[in-house]
Amino acid sequence: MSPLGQLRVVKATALAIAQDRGRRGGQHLGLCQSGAADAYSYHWANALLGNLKSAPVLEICLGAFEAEFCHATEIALCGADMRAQLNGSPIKNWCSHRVKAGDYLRLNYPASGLRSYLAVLGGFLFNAALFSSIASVPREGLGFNGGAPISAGMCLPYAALGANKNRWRRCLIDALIPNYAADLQLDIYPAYQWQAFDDVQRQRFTHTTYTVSTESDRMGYRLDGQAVSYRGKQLISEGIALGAVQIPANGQPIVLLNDRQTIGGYPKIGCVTKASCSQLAQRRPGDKVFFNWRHFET
Amino acid sequence: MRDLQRLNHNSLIIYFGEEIDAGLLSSISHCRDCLLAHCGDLIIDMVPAYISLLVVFDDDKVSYAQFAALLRTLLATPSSAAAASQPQQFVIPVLYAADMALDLLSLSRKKNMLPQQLIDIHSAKSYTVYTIGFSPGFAYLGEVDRAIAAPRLARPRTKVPAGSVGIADTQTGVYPLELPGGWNIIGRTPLRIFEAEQGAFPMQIGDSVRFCAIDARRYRQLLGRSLLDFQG
Repeated sequence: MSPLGQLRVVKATALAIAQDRGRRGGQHLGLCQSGAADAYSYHWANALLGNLKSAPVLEICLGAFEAEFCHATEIALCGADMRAQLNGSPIKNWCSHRVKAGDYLRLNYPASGLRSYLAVLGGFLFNAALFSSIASVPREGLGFNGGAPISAGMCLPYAALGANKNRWRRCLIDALIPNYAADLQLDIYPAYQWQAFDDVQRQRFTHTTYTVSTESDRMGYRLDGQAVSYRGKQLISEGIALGAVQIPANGQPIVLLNDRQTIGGYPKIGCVTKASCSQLAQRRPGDKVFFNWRHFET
Repeated sequence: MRDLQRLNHNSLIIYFGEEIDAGLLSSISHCRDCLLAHCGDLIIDMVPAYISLLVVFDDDKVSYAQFAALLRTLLATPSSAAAASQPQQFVIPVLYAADMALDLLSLSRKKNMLPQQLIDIHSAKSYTVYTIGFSPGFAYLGEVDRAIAAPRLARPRTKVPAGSVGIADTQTGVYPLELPGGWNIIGRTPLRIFEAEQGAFPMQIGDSVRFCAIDARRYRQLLGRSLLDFQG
């Protein structure tokens, strides 16, 4: 067992929480799936370091985060570009970096995007795993730190594996780096009660540009725009898959994400793809999105 | 009737009927047990609810086409290896009184009955677990006698204490944690229903639950005991 390294958090004023791939096997008890809201950036943060696919990271919203590494290691930052600085010098997003003991990391408010993923070599060593995941879920009060966010003064443990001088710094190629400033096309599979929405409603749904509402979080993104109406029969509550698009009585779609409730009784017009869910989780209130029907390849 | 529908990259839902019917629950449980026995290593999550079963599989291990083919074969073969799990029976003690039964008086008044009559009706029958969800360890139990069925409160409470026993339409249930909610609260159990640290919750769909009235002294004795522990 290697000695413990620690990340001493100096500042965490916006929301930062411990995340990983999410729980497996707890939804029948009513525990939400959770896991990194932007699975794409989470994946690359770990992949750039050669970590396990399920390694714990920090999901940091909107910068305002500062911390000191107490032991040498390697880190990777992916997701929203928080104009990160190491000891005051800028470091590239979507890249791995070597850090020494005493190095000071600072994340700033991003020009676009919402969440940054900070991974360390070998992953953070968080306890309180529930269904193979340490994911913090504030609503449930479960997961690392009792579901609560990371706060200043906390020391977050990681394996002190050191920084290997023989390992090259790795960066994601530009073509794979998403642009969060653009209007977002949400690819959606027709699913659930799709058939109960008539052609007029389906067209209205894909011909509307929706605005991300301020009431959007890890549970779901509420969208404002033309209302879509459901005239089918009343629904019996059923299990909700990632990306399901709920149409409540007011007709404003809600895209359900990682911390969604496990079951629900509102009609659903389809399911947004995993890739689109990752992109959506990087959007902020006021950003524009639109839907595009996609069909399953057989 | 069974209808299988794909939802996204790694989820599908199987519908077992169109209307709520306690009889469907054993088919759903059986299907779940069957999947666990035959391809449990391919499955991430399963969410049974009233008439359906949501299945989330591990698409790192198996493609949708392969998994759906496997599933169709399993569904077509009636009662393969998996032994049907027997429904469990639970008894939940409830103090139907005073400051804990926030809506007992108003609800019994609305129903033109004495609080004691309402309590007798609620604790007289055995309920079936139709689904678990909304929050960790919240079991939807049905169905309550029409005489005491009541719509959710027009203004939901921002905090309902853990252990509160409520009625919403023809369903009843226990709040496992302090949560916001709009159910009509008629009592409180001293038991811990959901063991959050272990993620343990003993009830499954199809199980049966009965409520028994206790007094304040018994409530204090049982306070903090776990549900499983109490069943002995």
